[in-house]
Parts: sequence; structure tokens; C-alpha cells
Amino acid sequence: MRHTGIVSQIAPCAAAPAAAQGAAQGAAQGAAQGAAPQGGWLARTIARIVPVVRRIIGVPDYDTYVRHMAVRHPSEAPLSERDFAEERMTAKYSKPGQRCC
Amino acid sequence: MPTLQKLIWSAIAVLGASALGYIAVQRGETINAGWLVTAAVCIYLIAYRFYSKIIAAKIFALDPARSTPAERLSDGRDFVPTNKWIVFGHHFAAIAGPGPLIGPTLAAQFGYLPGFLWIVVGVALGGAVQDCLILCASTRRNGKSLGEMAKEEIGTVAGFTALVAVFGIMIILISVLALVVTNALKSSPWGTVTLALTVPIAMIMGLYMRFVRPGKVLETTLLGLGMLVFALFAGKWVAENPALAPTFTLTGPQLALWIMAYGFAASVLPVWLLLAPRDYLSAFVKIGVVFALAIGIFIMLPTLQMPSTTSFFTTGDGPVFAGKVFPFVFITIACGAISGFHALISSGTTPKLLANEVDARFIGYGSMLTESLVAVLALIAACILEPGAYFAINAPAGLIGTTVQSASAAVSSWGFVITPERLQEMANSVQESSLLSRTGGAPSLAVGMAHIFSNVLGGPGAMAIWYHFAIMFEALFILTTLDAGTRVGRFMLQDLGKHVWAPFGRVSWYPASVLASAIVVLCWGYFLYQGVTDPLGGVNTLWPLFGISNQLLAAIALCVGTTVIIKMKKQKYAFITLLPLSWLTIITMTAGYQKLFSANPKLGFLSHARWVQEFLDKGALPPGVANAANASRMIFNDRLDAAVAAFFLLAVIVILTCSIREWYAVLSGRKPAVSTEVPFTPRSALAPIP
Repeated sequence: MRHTGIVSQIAPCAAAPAAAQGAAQGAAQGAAQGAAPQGGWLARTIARIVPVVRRIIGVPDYDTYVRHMAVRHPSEAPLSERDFAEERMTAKYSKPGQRCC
Repeated sequence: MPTLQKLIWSAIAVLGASALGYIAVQRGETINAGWLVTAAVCIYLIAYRFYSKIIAAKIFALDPARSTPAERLSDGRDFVPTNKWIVFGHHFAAIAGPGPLIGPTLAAQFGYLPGFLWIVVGVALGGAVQDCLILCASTRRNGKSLGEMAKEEIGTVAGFTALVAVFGIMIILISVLALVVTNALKSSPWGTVTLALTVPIAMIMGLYMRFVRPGKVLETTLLGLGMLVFALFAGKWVAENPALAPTFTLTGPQLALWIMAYGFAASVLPVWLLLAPRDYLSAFVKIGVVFALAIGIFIMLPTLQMPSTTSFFTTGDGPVFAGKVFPFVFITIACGAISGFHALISSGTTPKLLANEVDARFIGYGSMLTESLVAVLALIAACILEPGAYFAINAPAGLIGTTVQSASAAVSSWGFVITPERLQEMANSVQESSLLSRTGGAPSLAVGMAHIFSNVLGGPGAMAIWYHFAIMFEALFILTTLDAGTRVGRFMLQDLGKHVWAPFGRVSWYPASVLASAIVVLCWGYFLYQGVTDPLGGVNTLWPLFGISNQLLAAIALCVGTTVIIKMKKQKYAFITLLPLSWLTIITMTAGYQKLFSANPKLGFLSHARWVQEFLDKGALPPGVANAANASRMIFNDRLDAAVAAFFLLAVIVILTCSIREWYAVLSGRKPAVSTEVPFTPRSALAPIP
């Protein structure tokens, strides 16, 4: 019950930019969130929950970053996924405001 | 409000009031945990629906049509408009650490009632207000940090004080958390092996994510969870192996040195190798165990064994920590009721993620209510132990001795009868040689949790495995706070130090980062070592210092909040921050004064130093102290602790004075009331792009 609530809430969040920027979305290969998941009920549910859980535990969102770069800075090449993850992690553990008591 | 809604809210109010009324009349008899949970949840619902509305609607007038920093400054990195449920989960995972589990467990020495009332009242009127208000203020200021807001709203002195206070709090926080882990693992080969294995597990995860399956975080985390289960059974195997067990049976000082080495390594190693994988694992386990605990308590509906209040309520000579219920219950329970640390999160990552500023109420106020519920669950888990067992686990060896006979005699003399056989049987049931004097709260909470979990799954035979699971879970996320805190402390120190010597500030220069990490580790390591070698257990000294420092940070946040409110010309609603602020000022000042100047050597740092000195003058040694050098070091430590407490009190006074001057200047019209908010821009003015 709870999960479907979360997923239906997030769907427009991920889909709206995809619709507005179809070409950019294609370039971003944002398959995890943009494309409709294939397969049975379980596979689809897992495919929907995975990005939610990833972001809750604090994994940097590469797809959003690539979409952002494609829309806002189309002339610049985005960082590779590994460089992006490294840049985000280094930033995360260098200032207070991430972890509490 | 439509009639149906009125009816529903009236029903919630009546239900909450009945549960509270039942708790009130049941004093002196045992009570079911269900009453506490019901009363708490009803109070949370009502506080959220009615009290948080004052912040959202009256003060900030949160407007769904207003653009947020995430939208205006969108960069795909820090500023990313995010769904409110994800932000809620992320914010909750960031604020909820070991604090709401440990504080309520320690405060259970006064009985369940004082802690329970402070948790639910404190969160509704204090903690959640602070978190929500700072989140709103920061969101309206492009995600500025608490320190920046203190500087901008109150002045440079306040801003600098806030900066130094944050560093001081980190040091005390890390040392007390490390002490809790040390006390949970000393002489426990099972626990030590399990926790030690989490380090190579994290490294394997880090290497796997980097070289084998880049970006596959959830897959790797599931792999890590599997390895954690393996580590749990590996610990059991080592503990039962007579050849290996002694190697991993470590003393407190040995463990303290290992933990310091770990903190240093985490600070200088690349984040992808150790810190990041641990963090993912710990966030996952944290949310899972909190859910499991809630479900376990709902299924089991245990009866609390602890009385509503104990005699330590008024005598102030409780074995867990010294001091009367006022002010010490309010100092001991910070996280769960009001925690200043949250202001750093509410002005850190979270304001940069809000897609709609209206969500600030749900995320700021709502996740703090959730944390408060976690604190209530922890209090319940600690109070379902028989009181005699609770006190035997949480009282230092200086008071109860080191044998089950002496512990039974001492604890029974306080009025909590327990036999030596029962104490031994309890230690056997969790496969530990002894549970006596495992101060710090984590082990007694783990026994309570093992009780609940084994009741639902596995039966009494599973007590040992659930106990060590709970210890591993607590230690895992304590170490996550410790390693991330050490690294952040290192960066803060390098940032401060660059004004003295420029190369020290170069974060990518290895000698500077090694030096800064070593300084930070030595700072908290000193307090840790002092706590480990203290015959009174250390928690008695360090936890109140942590509580005072955390409440100091809350006072800073509430001063910033009040200034923001006054500059928005909403002073008729300033009561919402002034109420918790005045309470915090009273309790931090009273507690700090008592820790400094109380004539009781168990309570006051300076009188304790004099007490030790008197022994030395007579050519004798205080009980539990091995030699004169140790006694002299105790005197130095007492004075150091006194200086730290004095610094925190001074910081409260400085911030308050600066704030009151600023409020007076604005209210009297000498200074124009100008809000520093970013002016309104409609959301529709910008295309909804990522």
C-alpha cells in the first residue's frame, strides 16, 4: 500500500521532464526512471521501487544530472558516471549537514 | 473545517487524552506499552495538524506557487527538485542516528514517565518546531547553512560562535558514541568479531561498486547485507572457539585504540572505499530495524517492568548518571525531543531538494515526529527489562562491583531486587560472559530488542543471535556517525586552520589531510580514552556534556529562528520559538552550573577534582584508581571537562546576548525590519526542467 503511494507520487516527477525534453531524455538514457518497466508485476514493482530506495539512502542521481546537463548546458560534456559519483561523494563528506547523532 | 474532519480530530483528541489519563492513573502498577504508543501517536497527529500550521501558514505563509532553491538553482548535483516522500526518507535517515536510541535508554533510570513526557511534549513544542522553522528559513534563503544564517541574521560574533560550537559538539558527540561502542564490545569476542568484519565487508562493497558493477548500489548493498549475516554467525563461531576467543576478547582501552585507528583510516582513505559503502549499508539497516522494532512492539504489546518513576527522580544519585530529574532528564534526552544537530541537516542537504516549499512542513515537522516515535520505542524496549537487570547493566563497576553477587546486592539495596542467578542466566542467554556495567545504553537496549524480536521470531533460544544482531546494528550506525563526523571535522579544521597557515587548508594535499585527521582523532580520542579508564564509567561525564552541547546548538537555531520571525514582522508568533528557547536556556544553564559547581563530587567536575586531590593529599588513592599518576590525570580531566562545559555555557550566553540586542534594535525601530529572504518568484516563471 505504502509503496504504491510513493511510486504514484514520484511518477510525474520523473516523467514530466521526460515528456518536455524527449530528445534530451533519449540522450540521457534514463531508462531506470523514464521508460515504462517491462516484465511481470514483481519485476515492474521492483523496477519502480529501486530508484526510490536508491535516493532515500543517498545515492547521487546520475540520470537527473545528465538530463540537467543536456537541457541547461547542452554544449558541455557531462561527467562520466564514475566521476560524477566520486565528485558527489567527496562533496557529501566534506561539510556538516549530512549525518546526525 | 468540515464536520467530518472535526469529528475525526475530536476522536483523536479523546483517544489521546484517554491513553494519557490511563497512564496517569496506572502509576505504581505495570502498564502495557500500547498505551504509551497510542498517547504519543495521538499527540503527534494533533501537533502536526494544528501546531505546525502556525509555522506553515501564519509565519512563513508557505506558498505552492513560489519557486524553491532546487528549481531556481537546479544544478543536477546539490539542487535537485525531488519528490516529497523521497526527501522525507532521506531527511529522516540523516537525522535519526543512535541518539534517539541511547538517550531514552539512559533516562529510563528515572522511570518511564519523565522521559516519555519530555519526548512527546518536547518534540511537539520544541524539536519539530526547530527543524521545520530552520528548514523553511533556509529554503527561503537558497539553502544557506545555520552558521551563515546566524552570521547574517544576528551578526558576525554569533556566526563565529556557532561555527566553533559545531566543531566542539562534533568532538564530544564522536567521543561519547565511541565510548558507547567500546562498552558494548569490551570482553565480547562475538560482538568484536562481528563489528570488525563490517570494515572489510564495506571495503569489498566499495571495490565491487567501483570495479565490478559500477553504479549498482542496491545490488551491492544486498550483497553487503548477506555478508553481515555471515559476520554475525562468524562472531558466534569465534566466541565458541576456545583457541580463537581470547584473541578477540579485548579490554576497553584496546578497543578504544582500534576505534581511533578506524576513525583515522576512514578520514584519510578515499570515500568510495570505506565511507560511502558503509553509509549505504547503515542507512538501509537503520530504516529496516526501526520498522522491525515498531512492528515487533505492535505485535508483542509488551508490559513495562520499570516503574513510572524511581527514587532517583528526586535524590539525584542515580547510578546511570548523577543529577535530579530536573534538569537532567532534559539534557539526557536530546535526540527524540529536541536536537540542535538537526538544524544542520535542515539547513544542509534537505532545503536544496524541496520541489515545493509547502513540503517543508511535512518533511521538517513530520520527520522529527517520526524520530520522536523511535525514541518512544527505544524507551519501551529499555523499560521492558526487569529494573534490576536494567540497573545491573547500566551502573558502573565503581558502584556495583564486578561479580554477580556484589551487583545483585548493590542493585537490590536500591530497591530493585534481582538474584545473582538471574543476572548470570541473563548473560548466558545472550552468550556473554557478563552483562554487568555495560554502560552507555546500547547493551540494555539490545537486550530489550532481543526480547521483542525473539518473541516474534525464534523464541527464547534466539535471544543470543538477536542480541548480537542488535549490538551490530547499533554499533554499525554509531560508527557511521563517527567516521563521517571525523572526516567532516577534518575539513572544518582545515578550513579554520588555513587562516593560520595557508597550505593546511589544501584538502587534496596529503600531509595536510593526514595532519588534520590526526588532530581531530586525537581530540575525540582523548575524551574517549578518559571515559574508558574512568572508574565511574565515563558515560556519567560525557553524555551530559553531549546533551548540553546539543541543546546549545538548538538554542542557536532557535535564536536564528526568532530573529527571522521578528524581521518578517511576525513577532506576535515569536512565542513558537521563544517558548522552547527559554526552556532550553533554563535547562542548559542549570545543568551546566551543576556540572561545574555542584558540591557533590559525583555531579560536579570541580568538586570531583577536589575530592581526588584530598585523597592524594592524605597519601591515599580514591577507590578504583590504580596509582597516583592516574589520579593526577583524573584531576586534569575534571578540569578539562569543566572548561568544556564552561565554554558551552559561555557560547549560549554570547548567542543569547547578541540575539536579544538584535531583537530589541528591530522591535524598537532603531533598525529596519528587513527580511533577508530571496524575493518571491513564481514557479510558473521557470520551466519545470531538471
